Amino acid sequence: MANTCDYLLKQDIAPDCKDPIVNGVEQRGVIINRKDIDFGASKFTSRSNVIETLALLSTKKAYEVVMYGKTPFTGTNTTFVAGTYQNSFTNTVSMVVLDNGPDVCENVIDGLANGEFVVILENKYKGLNQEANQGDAAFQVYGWYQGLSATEITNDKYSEETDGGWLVNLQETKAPKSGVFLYKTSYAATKAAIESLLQAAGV
Amino acid sequence: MKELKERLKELGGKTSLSLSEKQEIEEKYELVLDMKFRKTSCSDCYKDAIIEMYSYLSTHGKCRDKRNYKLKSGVVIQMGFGSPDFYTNKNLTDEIAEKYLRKFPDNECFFAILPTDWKERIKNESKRTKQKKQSED
Repeated sequence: MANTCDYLLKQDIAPDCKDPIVNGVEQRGVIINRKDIDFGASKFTSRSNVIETLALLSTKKAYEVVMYGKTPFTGTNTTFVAGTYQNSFTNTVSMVVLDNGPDVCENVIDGLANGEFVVILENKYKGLNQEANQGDAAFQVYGWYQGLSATEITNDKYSEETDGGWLVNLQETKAPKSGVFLYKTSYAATKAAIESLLQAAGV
Repeated sequence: MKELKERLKELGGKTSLSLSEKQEIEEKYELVLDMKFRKTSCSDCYKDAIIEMYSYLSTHGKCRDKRNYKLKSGVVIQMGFGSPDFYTNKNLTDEIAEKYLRKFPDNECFFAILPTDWKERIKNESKRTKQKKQSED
């Protein structure tokens, strides 16, 4: 049996005046079919909520998700859920597919409706001015533990927001950690890792 | 080589590309850079690919050699913790891959493609480096 989890507070609760938090996420994110992740080659750092290598299986790749507007991925959040013996978190990622047609329905919507996913979003707050691990707050990973799956997919022809496109909500329940981040020693190296996710290692 | 560069110049000068020309660019991308072309939502991705290929050919004077080592998607390797030099499939060479595997043989799992005799290769490379050092001394 593993050691007892201590679940202790380990830091002061106070805002960082040099690097104040800002809300929101960038317009570009990455979505991965969860079954394409090579969990054997993926590694956490010594920090229990920081992944330093998120590797995909050979020939597999991630896909870009681009949202425009001032508040991309509106509705994305993490909420606390009280459990009987252990508390957990529910992660929700919301996105809009501003397109419709046979290819989008087959290649995107039907996949989203039935699959399990991991999404990486880039926070506007990146923690670049921290003394150590600069940039480790930038890339947040959703769906690592349980996978994100669809809870709502709507196509409203007269929606003012989606202009006839698709509104998609993906949710992960019972995640044991409040947040998981992707970070490989620097912001630049992590960004390079994200870019490489988008290209299949040609076999 | 000259013909290839001329053709890239020609394609780069076009205001709009046909489906077959786009396909041609995708094929040339793999030939020149030994990487699969990535279609994105970016409308200029084909033009960007042409520039990337053209500048590679201008700098190196040849297509990139077919590599024996390729990393899995998402993997970044560094020779030391926090090193400013990092490698993905975009800039990985066989030499770097072997240097890395010599240092971190347990990270074989980061590679999507590696030759079956990679262990021998890194041993031989170590010997060659030692011999070179001895002869220099």
